[in-house]
Amino acid sequence: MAFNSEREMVETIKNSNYLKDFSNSGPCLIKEEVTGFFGVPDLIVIRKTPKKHITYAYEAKLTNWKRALYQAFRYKAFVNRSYVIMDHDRVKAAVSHSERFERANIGLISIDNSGKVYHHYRPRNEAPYSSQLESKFNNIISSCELDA
Amino acid sequence: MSFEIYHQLGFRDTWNIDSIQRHGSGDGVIISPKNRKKEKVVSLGSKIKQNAIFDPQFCNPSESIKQMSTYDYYPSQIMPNGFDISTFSDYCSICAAKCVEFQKNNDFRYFIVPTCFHESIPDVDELTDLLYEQYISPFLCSIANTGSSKGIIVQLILNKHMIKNEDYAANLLDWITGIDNINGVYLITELSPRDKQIKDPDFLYSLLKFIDALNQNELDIILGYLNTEALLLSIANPSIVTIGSYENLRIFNPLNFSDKENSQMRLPAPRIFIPELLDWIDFYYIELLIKKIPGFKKLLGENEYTDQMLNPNYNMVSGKAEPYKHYFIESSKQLRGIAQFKDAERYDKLIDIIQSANNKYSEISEKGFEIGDYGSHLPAWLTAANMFASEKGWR
Repeated sequence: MAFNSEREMVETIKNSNYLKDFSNSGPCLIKEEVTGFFGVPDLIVIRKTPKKHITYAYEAKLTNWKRALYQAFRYKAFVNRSYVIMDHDRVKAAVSHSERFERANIGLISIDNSGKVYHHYRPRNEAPYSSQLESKFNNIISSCELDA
Repeated sequence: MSFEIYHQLGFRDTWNIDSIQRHGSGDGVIISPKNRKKEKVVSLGSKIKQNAIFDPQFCNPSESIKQMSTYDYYPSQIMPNGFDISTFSDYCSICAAKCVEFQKNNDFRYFIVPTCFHESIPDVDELTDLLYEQYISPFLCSIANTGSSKGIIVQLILNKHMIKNEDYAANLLDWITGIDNINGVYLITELSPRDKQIKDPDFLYSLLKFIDALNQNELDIILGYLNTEALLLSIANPSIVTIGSYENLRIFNPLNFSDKENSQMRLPAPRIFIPELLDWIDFYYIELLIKKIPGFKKLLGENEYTDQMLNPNYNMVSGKAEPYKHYFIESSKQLRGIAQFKDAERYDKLIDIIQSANNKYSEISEKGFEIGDYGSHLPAWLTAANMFASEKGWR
């Protein structure tokens, strides 16, 4: 069954194993609707690895995958990996244009009501494309305590 | 015939004046009382004023905007109980006399006969009768009393329905071209709803025809509140096109002339005008575009502000002068470039510029950039330009 709202979808993601796996694999910070950058991602995740931080941004959309793709592309200005998350029942149209996600290196995942996540395209790790926003975003990281 | 470039002044209008004086990015200014108190208009240098157009801004006479209270000619100040359209005819001559006196004392380039804005599409005879009775006639009478031989320009603010409806537009043209003793029209158009760029080919084509008809009647045409479509509209041979800094000076919105405006103000996202893309592009894409698209840096244009904005230490935040001063220089360069040509040659040049921009957007997209609907206004521009050129026998 499809989600009724993006909010409902974001809540499901937050409680999913997908995000829990981040927390289980080491120190990590999850924030919602972070403003002041380039667009407002629904979720950001900052994961600390032994050597560095890896940053993720997510744009959740029920149907409009193109708009989500444009928004997710903006987030690449300040994170390493940016994703579009679609309702699993409505992801077909986006999947049929997966070459655009690949070309732009934007991840595409979908989620169902049970919280199960499906990967359609996994993006490569890339440096953020705006040095100005990257350093602004790094200030957030350094000011936050990451949960172990 | 070539055309002049005027700056539509508004908030932070010293940027415009500085750019005209230092970089030659314009030939004059259109002064906005909403953004410049009377004393500050009076104290402008005579060189600026001689080339200036003063827009009295009666477009929303029922609103009493705080910033405009330093002027004594507004209906809200003259009518005892504030503006009332049913009794304005009793007071319009006083408003006109005071406004004309202010224009005369400041020795601006022309006398401007102001107008009000109608959101709806009133019966054309009712509209023209009202405009003539409450604005044109009293102003022409006051101007005649000055004994001045300065040119007289009548302002028209038209909504999209008025422009797109052929019969309505034809009636308006019949009326305006039949008024004696005027030298031109200061035309402002309102398109609502709209995006940052105009994507309605019918509106653009109708507007080109409207401007052309005014031109055929040997009237000077000043086009106010233009965004990058100034370049497209230049093929209809206006006398003056405008450029402006903030979006509310490049897109006419009657709400900007109401007190409601303050509650709606928000900081614009940082963008840079890229002449060869015929649009303002989000600043944060620029670094990546330069990295991934060979030769992209050149598309931004070369001036002192480009260098500053591309410096890695440059802190791009809203409200900075550099993106706007960059726009003034690069858009005026582009407009002056096309102004050298006329008629069919100008149209050919425009088509080259649009097609080149289209090709660049394709290249950007092929490189994996997902930057939204940038460039989506260009097909509408091409359609309108081609339809107009066909009518003129240029293609």
